[in-house]
Amino acid sequence: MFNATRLRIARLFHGITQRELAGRIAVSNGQMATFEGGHKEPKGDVLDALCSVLLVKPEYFCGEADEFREEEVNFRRRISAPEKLKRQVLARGSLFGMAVEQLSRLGKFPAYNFPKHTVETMEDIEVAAEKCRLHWNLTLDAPIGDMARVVENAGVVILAIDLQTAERVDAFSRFGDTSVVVLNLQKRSASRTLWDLTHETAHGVLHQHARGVPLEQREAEADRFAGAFLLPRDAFASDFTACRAMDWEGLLDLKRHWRASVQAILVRARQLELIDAAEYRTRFRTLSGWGWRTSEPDEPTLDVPSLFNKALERAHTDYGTTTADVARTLGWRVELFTSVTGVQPAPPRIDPNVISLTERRLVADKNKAPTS
Amino acid sequence: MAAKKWNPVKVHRALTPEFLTPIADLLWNVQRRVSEHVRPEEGDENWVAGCTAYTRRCYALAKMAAGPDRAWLWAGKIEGQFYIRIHGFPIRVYRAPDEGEIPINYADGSTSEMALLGRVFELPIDDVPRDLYRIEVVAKKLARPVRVAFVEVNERGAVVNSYTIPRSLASAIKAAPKTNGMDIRPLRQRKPPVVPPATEVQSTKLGVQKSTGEHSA
Repeated sequence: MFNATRLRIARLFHGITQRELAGRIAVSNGQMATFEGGHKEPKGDVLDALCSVLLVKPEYFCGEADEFREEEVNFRRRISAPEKLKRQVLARGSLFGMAVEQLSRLGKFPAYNFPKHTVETMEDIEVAAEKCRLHWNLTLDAPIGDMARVVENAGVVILAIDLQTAERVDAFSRFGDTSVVVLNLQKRSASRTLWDLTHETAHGVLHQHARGVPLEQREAEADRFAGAFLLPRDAFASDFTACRAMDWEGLLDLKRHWRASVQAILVRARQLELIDAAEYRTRFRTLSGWGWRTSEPDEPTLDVPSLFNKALERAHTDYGTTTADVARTLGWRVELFTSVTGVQPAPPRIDPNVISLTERRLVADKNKAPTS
Repeated sequence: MAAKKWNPVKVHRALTPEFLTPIADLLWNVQRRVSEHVRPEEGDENWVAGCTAYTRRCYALAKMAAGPDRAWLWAGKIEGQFYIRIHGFPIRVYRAPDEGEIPINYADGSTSEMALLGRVFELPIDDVPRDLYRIEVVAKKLARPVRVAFVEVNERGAVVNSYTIPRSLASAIKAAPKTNGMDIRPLRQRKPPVVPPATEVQSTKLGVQKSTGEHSA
C-alpha cells in the first residue's frame, strides 16, 4: 500500500517542491499532486524515477509514517528561518525517527524517563529544574559532566549534525512515541550546544502536554529552566559571589567549572540578582566588543551523543545487521541513511582469499593484448 | 624614583597582602634554602645561586598553585616566560636589578600579558597602560634573601613604584589566604562535575545480557 505521507517526507527532506519533483521525474504537476494527496499510486517507471530522485527504494513507500508535525515539535529557530527550511528540518526528524524506530526492534533503548512538571511562575521553574536534577541522580551542587548522557539515559535519542541551515535553526525536539532531540552543530560552540540540549530537555519536562502555551512563553520558560538546571541557584550563587571581583578571569573560571558560556553565566547572575542591570549591560557590551557573542574562549568539550551508534552496534552484535542492512530495511539507499543520520556505513570486509573476477579478467585481457 | 606609599591594591583589588604574602613567604623560603646550599668553596657563585633559585621558585610556585584552596593562583609559562596570575592578574617573578642589569626581554610585556591585563582592567588591548608588574626577590651575595617586593616597571624596564610585601609568620605559607572583608575571596572547595553512567542499549535477543561498548560513527 503506497503511503503518500512518506513521499512528502522524503521530498521535503531533499528540499524540493512538488513542482520541482514533478519536473525531475517528467510527470505533470497535477499528477504529482494526486500522488502526494494519496489519490493515485505511482507505478512502474514513475515509481522508479521517484526512488532515484529521493534516494529510496519502492518498499520505502509502504508502511506507516510517524510524521513529525510542527504542533508536536519544539522548534527552536530564528525568526528569519523560512517555512521551507522548517519543513525540511522536520522531515529530517521524521526520517531519523523511522531509523530509531527500526533500531528499537533490534535493541532495547533506555526507557523513557522524563518527569513532567506544570509551571506558572519562575519559582516553579527553579523548583522543577532542581527536582529534575534529583530525579536523574544529579546533585544540586556540581556541574553536569555530560548532558548528552543525562538525556539519552532518560530514553531520548540525540542527533547532533550539521543541519546546513546557516544557523537559522538551533535545535528541535519531539517527545512522544519516538523521542528525539536534533541539535544543529553548524558553526556552534560546545557551550552553546550544551545550552540548546538543556533547553530542549526543558521542553520535554515542561511542555509535553502544554499545547496552549504561546511559543514565546515556552521559549522563555525553557531558557530559564536551562539556566536553573545547568547552574543551580544555591551552588552557583555561592560560587559567583566568591569570585565575582576577579572580573573576566573569574567569569572564565566559572565557565570552565560549570561548562556554561560566560553569557549564560551573566544571564543567570542577573536572574538571581547577583549583578544589577547596569553591570549586566556593561559586561555584555564589553564581551560584544571582544567578539565573545559568537566565539568565547575556554570552550568545554562537546558532549557527544552515543545512543544511536550504540544501537547500531547492538544490532550488529546480536543479529549481524550492518548499517547498510538497516538502511535497506528502511527502504533507504545508503546515501540517504548517511545524509539523515551522519553515520557512514563501514566498507564491506573483503576476504583476502577471495580474488575479484573482474580484476582477474582485466589482467588476463592485458596479457592477451597484442604488443606492437 | 619609587613613591613612598605606593600600594598595589590601587592597581587592582586582588593585589592585597592576603594573596601576596603567601607568595612572598614561599619565595623567601626558597631563596633562603638555596643560599644555605650554595658552596662557594666548590666553585658556586652568584650565577649558579641565581639559576638554582629561579628554577626552584618556578617549581615551588607551580606546586603552590596546584594545591587545595588555591583557585586564585595560577602559575605557568606564557609565551615562554614564567608567570603567576593572582585572580587573573599576570605577574612575572625575577631577581632584583641590584644583582645586575635586567635583560630587556624581562621588561617587555608579551602580547598575552597585555591581553591579560586588558581583561583584568576591562580595557581593549590598545588602551592598556604600558606599565607592567613584577615580583622581585632582592638578594644579597650568594642568594641570601633581603626582601620580596611587588614593583611596577615602565616600558623601559625601570622600576617606577615598589612595595615590600609584608611577610607573615612561617606557618602562614601553609594556610589558605583568608579574606579581610574585601570583595575578593578565594573560591570555595568545588565539587567535580557529576558524570552520568554511559548509555547502553540492551539486547533483545534471548540469553544475551551484555551491554554495548563505545562505538563511534
